[in-house]
Amino acid sequence: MGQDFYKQSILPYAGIILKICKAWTNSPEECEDWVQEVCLQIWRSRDSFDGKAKWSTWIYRLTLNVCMTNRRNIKKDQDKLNRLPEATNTETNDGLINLEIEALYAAIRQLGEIDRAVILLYLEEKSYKEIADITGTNANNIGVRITRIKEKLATLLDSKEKHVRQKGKA
Amino acid sequence: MMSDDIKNIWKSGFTAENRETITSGIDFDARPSINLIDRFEEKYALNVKILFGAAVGMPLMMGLFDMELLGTFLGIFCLLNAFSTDKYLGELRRMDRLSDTHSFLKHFQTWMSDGVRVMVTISRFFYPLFFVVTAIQFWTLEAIQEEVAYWLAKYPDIALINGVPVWLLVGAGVITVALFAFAPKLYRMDVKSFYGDDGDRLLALVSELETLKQES
Repeated sequence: MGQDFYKQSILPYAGIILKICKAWTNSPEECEDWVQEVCLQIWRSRDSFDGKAKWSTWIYRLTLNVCMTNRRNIKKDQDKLNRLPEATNTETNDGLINLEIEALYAAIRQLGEIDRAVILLYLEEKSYKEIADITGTNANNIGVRITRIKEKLATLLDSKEKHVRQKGKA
Repeated sequence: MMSDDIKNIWKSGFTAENRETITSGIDFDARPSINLIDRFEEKYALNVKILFGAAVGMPLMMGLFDMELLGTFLGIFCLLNAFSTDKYLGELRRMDRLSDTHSFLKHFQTWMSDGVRVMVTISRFFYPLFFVVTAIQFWTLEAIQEEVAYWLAKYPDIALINGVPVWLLVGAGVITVALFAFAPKLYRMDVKSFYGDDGDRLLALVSELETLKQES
């Protein structure tokens, strides 16, 4: 692969790709595979970019499309246990942030695939119109959907918090 | 507020991710794809080659066993199937992975279901025809004719139509009708075992996106 293309067109966006792939799999090895798959698809599709949309929009679209059509490890996929991540070091601020982000990811993975796509784009500060453009839906319906998703996430995160407290007391 | 909380968690949660270690040093030209669509492309491309090979090979092979009729039938079927599969493969290759999620998934899901629908129709006629042609081919073999002549001499009262025992014709008719009726079901079971739950899952995703797409 051209090193220039990789450095200019893939590496700056690898973080976005990683964030989205993590919402589809809780296995680090599978996530790495999926990130590489997305990069592979970017490389293969590079000549198809027509410049009508922003490159970042194109990356979001491709990543979501690939995540939804990747072959998945069925056993892991069926493992819906919402296990809390290991609290490696909650005494430091970084440890607490890691726990929070992993808890948020665990909650996002409990959502349906479309809800996952919508909330990820919302968290990436995309406008309703941009979310509708990327997903091919209607901006008017996105707002209502996001409200419902946030309520679901709030419930999931609250139950996690209670679980953590109970673990602490035990 | 909840949205501020999760947005803050999201923003502050990503520091120095090991992006570069995941993506660098990989030969993307040689790396095999794990994507479903690419897997289908590989499978169908191989199928096309096998079918073109069989279109030539089957008549030759069957000719060695004096079964030219069956060989010709299978050769023609494989050839037509090869052209059809190649066209179907072309549609998959033209699929635009850069389109929005709804268009992309709908296109893929339609491709899958169109393919299944075409093959179900073909199987409804292919399996019964294959059986009939095979039966006719075997009936004309010298060894079979000798065996039939032996049994007809032993049981001269057997009812015949054009020299063929009636019970044999009835049995063949029942099998042919059963294949016509059950072939699509058998084919769908085959497809399900190959596609797994992907077909149903895609249908559900497309349906959900269409709900979001409707004008409110």
